[in-house]
Amino acid sequence: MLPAIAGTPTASSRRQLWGKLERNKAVVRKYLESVAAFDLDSIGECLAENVVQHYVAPSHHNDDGGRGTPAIASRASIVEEIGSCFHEILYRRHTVTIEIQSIIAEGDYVACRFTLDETTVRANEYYRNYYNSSIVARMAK
Amino acid sequence: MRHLISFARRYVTKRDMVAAAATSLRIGQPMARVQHMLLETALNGF
Repeated sequence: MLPAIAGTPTASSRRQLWGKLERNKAVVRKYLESVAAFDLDSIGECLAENVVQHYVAPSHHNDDGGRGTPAIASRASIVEEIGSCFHEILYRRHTVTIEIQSIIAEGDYVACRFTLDETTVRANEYYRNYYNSSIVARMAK
Repeated sequence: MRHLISFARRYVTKRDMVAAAATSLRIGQPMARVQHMLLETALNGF
């Protein structure tokens, strides 16, 4: 029998890790489902009170993904932003669907590619957004 | 109850249990919360 190596994951620690990664992916899925359904209460449940959201074009490159980019900070601001802009300015009601193309978790990070399809308010035409997102999720407090 | 457990042992596979756990994570209160989001998209001609 081989000697045990310090730091080798045990079955129990592997299960724990799997649970954490699934838990983090689950909150991202729930968040996106809540956005598509325009369920503001559920959106709020998915966010930490001090959450920060950066929204950038792909041409905007920086190393940490945050510095110098416009940010919306706090759960209340994000819920307010979605609540006031989503259907008034951007998308016609009941036309939004979100499809997750891939979702990958490692540590606290979740990388998710998804599409958001809708009919626009401005031009009243079908439009598809392609998103790459990098999300940090931690145990709920 | 004993019958139910024996039924579950016989017919519920590990894969079913994993799927059930994943479903319960999805439908219940989120166990984690989002701390930081970086959303990257191109709005060409939106």
